[in-house]
Amino acid sequence: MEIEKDEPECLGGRRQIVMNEIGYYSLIIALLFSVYSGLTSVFGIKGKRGEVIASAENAAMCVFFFLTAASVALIYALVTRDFQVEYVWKYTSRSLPMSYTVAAFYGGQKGSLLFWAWILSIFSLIVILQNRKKNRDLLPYVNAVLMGTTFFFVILMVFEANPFEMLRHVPPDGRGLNPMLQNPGMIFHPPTIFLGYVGFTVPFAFSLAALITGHLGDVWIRTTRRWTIVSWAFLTAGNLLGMEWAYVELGWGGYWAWDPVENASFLPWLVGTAYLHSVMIQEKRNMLKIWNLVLILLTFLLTIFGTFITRSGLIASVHSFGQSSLGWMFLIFLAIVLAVSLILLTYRLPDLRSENHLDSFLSRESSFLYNNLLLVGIAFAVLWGPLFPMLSEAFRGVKITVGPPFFNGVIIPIALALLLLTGLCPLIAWRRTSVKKFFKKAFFPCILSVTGAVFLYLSGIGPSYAFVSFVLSIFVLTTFFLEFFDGTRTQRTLSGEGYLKSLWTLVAKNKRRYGGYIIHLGVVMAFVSFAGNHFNTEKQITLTKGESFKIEEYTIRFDALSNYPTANKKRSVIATLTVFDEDRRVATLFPEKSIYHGQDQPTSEVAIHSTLEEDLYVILAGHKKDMVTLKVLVNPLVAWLWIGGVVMGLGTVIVMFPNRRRQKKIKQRDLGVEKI
Amino acid sequence: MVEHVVVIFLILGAGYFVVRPLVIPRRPDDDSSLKGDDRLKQLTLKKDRAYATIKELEFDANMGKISKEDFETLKRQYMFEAVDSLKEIDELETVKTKTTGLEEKNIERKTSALRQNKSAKKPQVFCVECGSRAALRARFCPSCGAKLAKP
Amino acid sequence: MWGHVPRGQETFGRFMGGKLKKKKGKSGPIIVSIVILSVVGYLIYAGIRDTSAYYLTVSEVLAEVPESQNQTIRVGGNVSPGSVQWDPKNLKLVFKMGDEKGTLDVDYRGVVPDSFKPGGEVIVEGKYNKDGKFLATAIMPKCASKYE
Repeated sequence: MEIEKDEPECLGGRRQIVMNEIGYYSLIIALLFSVYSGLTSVFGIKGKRGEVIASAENAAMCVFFFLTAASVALIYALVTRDFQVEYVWKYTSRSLPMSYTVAAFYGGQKGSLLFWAWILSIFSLIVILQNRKKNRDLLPYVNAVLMGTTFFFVILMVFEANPFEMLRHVPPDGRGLNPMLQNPGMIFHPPTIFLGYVGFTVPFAFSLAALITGHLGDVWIRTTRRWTIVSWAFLTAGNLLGMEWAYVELGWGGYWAWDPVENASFLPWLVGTAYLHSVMIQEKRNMLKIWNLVLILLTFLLTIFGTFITRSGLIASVHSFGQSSLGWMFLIFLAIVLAVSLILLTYRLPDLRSENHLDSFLSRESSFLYNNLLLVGIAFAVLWGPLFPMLSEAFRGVKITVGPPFFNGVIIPIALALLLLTGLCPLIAWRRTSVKKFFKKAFFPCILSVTGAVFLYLSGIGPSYAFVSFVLSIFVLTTFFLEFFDGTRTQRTLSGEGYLKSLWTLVAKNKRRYGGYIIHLGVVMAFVSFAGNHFNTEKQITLTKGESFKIEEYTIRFDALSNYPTANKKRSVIATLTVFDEDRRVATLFPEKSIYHGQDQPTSEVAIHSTLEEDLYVILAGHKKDMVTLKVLVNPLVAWLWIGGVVMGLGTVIVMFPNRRRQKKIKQRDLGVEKI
Repeated sequence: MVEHVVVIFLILGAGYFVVRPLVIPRRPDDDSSLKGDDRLKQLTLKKDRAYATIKELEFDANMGKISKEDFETLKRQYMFEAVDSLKEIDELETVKTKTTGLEEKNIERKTSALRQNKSAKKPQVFCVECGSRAALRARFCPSCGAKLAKP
Repeated sequence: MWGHVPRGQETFGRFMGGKLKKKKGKSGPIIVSIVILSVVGYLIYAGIRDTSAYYLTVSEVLAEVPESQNQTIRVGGNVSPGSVQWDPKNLKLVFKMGDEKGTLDVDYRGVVPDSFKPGGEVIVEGKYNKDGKFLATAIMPKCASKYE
């Protein structure tokens, strides 16, 4: 203010302060509006006053507006590199590329809170606009729950973690983004996972609204069906992107280490997946109402719990975010949500009794139930694994740890059972399948699987989980193929169209079913890829220039070592390796070890030569003059995990594809019951 | 200074937006939407569900997943479920028109028709394919286009 | 509102005339579910029993040598500065780790992670032999720089 004379830079600085202030005020205003909106919508519905509810909805839109303003202000501060803002100083630097500078928006804790709240406000807006004319009985409560959650996140920012906090002085440069985060994964992984996490708030809000109003039919489930699928798809994609990122960045040779933070995002995925399956039973048969409510409540709680785990520092993790008091606020929020949900659930328990019963242990709905039990079983194991040591320390005073062997030992068999179920499910009809029919249908897949098993055994793959996984994959693929084939044939006899046209009609007519099969096809690919882990080989070796060594069928020759600084890195050591497959030269790899500006610890950048069959994965572990120490892995079938992810995405698109209003006349078939 | 002016301006705008619905009265019929005909929605869904299940059953039977006997039993059961829902929907809708108070004549006509013959109270049929209503004389279902049997 | 609920079944029963064998089907799913749950429960129980490792500090290991022998354990402590010897040719790492009360000699074969450095915190997994050496199969340095 005082030296606001003529220097353009000062003017810029002044403008930045204005933006920053606007950002912080926007947060406070958003906070007030979220309180107003939440309270008035409840009062409005209680007093049956439409105008009050309309006002509440407008207030929710204002929350969206002001959170957008706050987000724009933060992005502006980042982009203009206003290092006086503590957040900008902490996570960016002048040398940081622009894409990562914008991504730093959610690179730190405070920013990620804002990002979360912002997405939630966008979703609230969409929900309100979608339901202007529908679900008027539920919406006020839905709005109240959404606003309550937004309120929680905004209040954290206003009182505990203000992203617009200013430093007293203006530092010349920022501390820079953690080098591990400087990877394209940073641009895609966090937003995707956030969208998934936040997306589950919407079905959760509807479920609470259903509990409050007592309108417990499947209206809320059908309304939130798309929300659930989209959130699930984002969570899946987010997890896969995270795995890909870990694979190329963390440099230990794999993509999943059962780290608490990985588990934290795996848990809501597992329960969300269970929910996705079990709602179909409620839609079809009006059963499992309590179970569905419990699952969606649990999914939401687990997204918050995941954030709590990562923020509280309660469990040590490679991700370990800075410890802060925020964790405990999450715990309080968690407790409130849990208490409210349990009270409502108990209150409505008498209304939730099912109208129908499971008819047979061999029916599709039963198989969905088993699928649910297995998924929730895995979730329980994943939760119990890290929790048990804490309990054991508290009660027995002995510190023990549970590591990857626990997870692998428990979860692989359960996951294989799930895979088997994926194959059995298409063979089973709704309601009831006679055992005879079932075996008739299962005959061909079984024969093929046994043949495959024998073939695998003869080619030297001994009995192991991987072996089982391969055989089951054959089984599942066969049943899927048969399902498509038989379906097409049946469709053809009904309509008399050609095979391709019939296949098209078949899928178009029942997108959910056949899109679902495609998603599961992606899951099978992932399983095949996971099984490939069993055959990983690893070698560690030190080479001098010109020397080469063999791993599997590859020969790797160390050619050169270069050492130079780049704009972003203080020092970057790159080894040049030539890779031969048998005698054919297939690739030149450049594993790298760099020290970024503002860091003292080196970061390894791995080099990967990837084929459908396997990945050759090279880490530059150390170097000295003309010597390099390499860690080399051959990881079979890794690429299929990423391909599987793409296939799952494709399947989701098919499931989500809007239904064209059917104009075609459907062939009349006599149903044998006279009309009234 | 500037930031305060901007913020105050924004607050005023947002405040107006939020208060407006309270000040400007809405059309009265908007409020009726608050009640939500949940039971009716439930029944419609139930009916749709039953029809969808029948269709799926047919397809499954054609694909040989369930035996003929199972198919027949299950289909009959779902037909009855659908018919039940339809009946109830009809009753509810009649009651609804009654309570919302249309012209008295209309009510009288309806109630008397109801008294006379419960099952044939309306010159309407239901489509067996999708369960939507069609006029008695209609040859095709107005919703899904299926051919309707002659009554 | 839900008074209508049993209607469907009433009709159902009326028309089916008790043809459907209800009893037989009902218990099937429950039995299968119980089997699934018990298997999952057993897997978790067995998993914890067989794979959990004791986590000890250096001084605890030094105090309880007999108990922790020949059993995979995890030990946490700090890398003693100046004790680190790295032989790149044979990929052999020898260092001392300790806390306030004592130090432990650690032998490790393999590549050293980026974040391993003298003075830093480290967790090692492996077996302790009586000669006073800990044969580590894995070393896990705690990240000094946090993601925050």
